Amino acid sequence: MNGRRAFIRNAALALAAASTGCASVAVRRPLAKVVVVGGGYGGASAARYLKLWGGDTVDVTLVEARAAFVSCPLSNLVLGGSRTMAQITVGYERLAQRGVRVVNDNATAVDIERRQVRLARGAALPYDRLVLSPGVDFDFDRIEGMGSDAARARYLHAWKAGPQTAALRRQLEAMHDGGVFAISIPRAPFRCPPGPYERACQVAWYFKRAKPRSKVLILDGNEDVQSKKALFMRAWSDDYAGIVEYRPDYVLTGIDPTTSTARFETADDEHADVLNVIPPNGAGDIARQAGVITVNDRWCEVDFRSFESIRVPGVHVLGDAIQIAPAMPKSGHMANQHGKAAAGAILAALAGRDYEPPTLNNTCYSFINDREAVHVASVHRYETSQRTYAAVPGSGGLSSAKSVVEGDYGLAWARSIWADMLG
Amino acid sequence: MAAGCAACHATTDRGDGPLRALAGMPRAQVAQAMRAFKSGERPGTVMPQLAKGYTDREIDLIAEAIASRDVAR
Repeated sequence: MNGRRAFIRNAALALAAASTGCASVAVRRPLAKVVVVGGGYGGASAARYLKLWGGDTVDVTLVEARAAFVSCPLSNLVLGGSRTMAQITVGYERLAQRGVRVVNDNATAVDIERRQVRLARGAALPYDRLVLSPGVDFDFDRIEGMGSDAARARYLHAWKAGPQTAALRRQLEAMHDGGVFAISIPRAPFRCPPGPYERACQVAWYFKRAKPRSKVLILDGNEDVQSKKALFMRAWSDDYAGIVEYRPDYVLTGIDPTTSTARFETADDEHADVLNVIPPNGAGDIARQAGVITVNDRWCEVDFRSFESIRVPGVHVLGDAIQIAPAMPKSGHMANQHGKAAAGAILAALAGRDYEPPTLNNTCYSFINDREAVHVASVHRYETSQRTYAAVPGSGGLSSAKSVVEGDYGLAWARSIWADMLG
Repeated sequence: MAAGCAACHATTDRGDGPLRALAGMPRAQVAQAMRAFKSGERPGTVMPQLAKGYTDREIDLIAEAIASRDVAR
């Protein structure tokens, strides 16, 4: 439909040009340039839908530092050993075939004045609209002993799926039976609220089969389990009794590498053989550089009608990096929904059309073992009077219990959403 | 609005396993399924919980978009 509209417009322009004797003059308006930085769930979805809906009226460039997309959802199954890195990796080729210009480079800076994105290797990219979907970066300064590259290579976060996922799996494989795996969870908000607890299940599933004398220690910087609490607690008491131990109020303040001991604000020190440190999360570094971080020196506030930064006009921010709406989780599915909402708003703005913010949904599966999963789901409607999205009362909910059916749905969800965002 | 559904449900004819592809499904069928999930008449895992979050107007918009393949890939 967009193609037809563009054809009619161009035909009309050509006719007007011909009638004034200027047929040789270029009749097309310059294409609107949209640059998307970050090819994860938010950015890839935005790029895909900008091109799908915008067609020939828009020039879409996606800048992504990595050669292929690696999914955070399902990456805990790689730690458990039931999935491989290859099974959670998808290339950007199909997105490129569908008309998105994919630039494999690192965006180093945003020049707001000149409306350009600077790249590590290539020439700067000019934009009319910029979409930042930078995910999260980590505040290592809050944890004494994590300043060095050596410490960061030893105490992995694996909170961005990729080399750290594979490296943490290797640490688990190398650990002796009878060892302790500890996962340190930062204070909320952080990327993927149920993720750390799913990770504990996956590592416990591996230990139960391969290293049954080993322990999983969950050291939570929060006062309670942050998502799917009853379902996870049931798994730890029923499926992983004697393996998983949950401890709230463990705010990590430092690590002593000589003894591999973790220190906390109030709780006693803990030793671990494999220590998985998820530092406090904040918007990805390029958001800081672009000046769109507005809350607690950490998150980016947006106008939820368009996901445009409240600070910098023409710059839209998606996914885990934003100051999220009430009850809206920092999830891959949610970022996919942000991407489509922003794509619609950007195209409407470029065309001078009105735009109604769509109702968004979230579905998130967590795997309890290699085959059984549980879900949480929610629906979010834009509330004009509150200028934000709010969970729709009476909607959403959780699984009643883990099941193989939901495990199959969870795997199908991943395949579907990867196809949705990457073509 | 219907693009929100495409995260899980393929909008092409190639569906994927247990999550049903929606491409070109007749409008009445989509609307009826959503209303049955919403009322609790039709059981399920995620869909009854999501359907309760959409108004009748939104359900009709979604059904129209799916039937007309407006979200097609």
